[in-house]
Amino acid sequence: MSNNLNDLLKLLLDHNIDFLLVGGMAAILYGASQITHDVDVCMVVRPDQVETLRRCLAPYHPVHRETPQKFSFLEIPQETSHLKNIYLQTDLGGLDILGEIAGVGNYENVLKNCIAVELYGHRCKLIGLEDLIKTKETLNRDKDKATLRELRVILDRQKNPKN
Amino acid sequence: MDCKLSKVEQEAQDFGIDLSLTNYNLSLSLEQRLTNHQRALNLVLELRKAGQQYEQQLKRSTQTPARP
Repeated sequence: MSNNLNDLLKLLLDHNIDFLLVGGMAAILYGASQITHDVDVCMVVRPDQVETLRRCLAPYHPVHRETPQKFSFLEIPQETSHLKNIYLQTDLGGLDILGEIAGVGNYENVLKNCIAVELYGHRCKLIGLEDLIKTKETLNRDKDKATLRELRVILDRQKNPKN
Repeated sequence: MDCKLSKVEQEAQDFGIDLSLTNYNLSLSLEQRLTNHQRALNLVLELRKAGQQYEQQLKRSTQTPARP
């Protein structure tokens, strides 16, 4: 098993899954020097998207990370119309699929201020920097405090390029 | 660096952020940032594995009775 978050991200992009990149990987793309162990995405968790996710993740043995039995995502749940958040562990690393982002709201809300970047030959939607900062402020977790300060510096540099 | 820091830069530096690392990241392309992150993550995972192996070794050696 080899952790490779970049391959996990590429996989989602290659399969044209409609998602917004949020969390630690978004912070890294903005220039933060933190280390993250998973890929966090915000999306509308529709049954057709779940089917595409199952198809593309199948070779990487996705399981529900937070269940002690580590149930396979390929089989459970059978009914997918009510899903909001999915926390997976795959052979490539962790994948958190979130229907809502703290301090910002659902996919539509995050979409409003997102930016699109070119990554691995695809167009990747990235949560807006101010929204990313808002999320980290709302969550108020100790582990985010350094990243939060670094993101504020990066935002300040964007707003005042001469600094 | 001698140049005057902005308020947020000063706050970050006081918190312990190495701004030279931030400046370096900002000089890279997006894909280079992801590649560097993966390298750093691999190192963290290797170090963690080595730490676990060392702890197991230590446990085994303390459980083995000393020879007369």
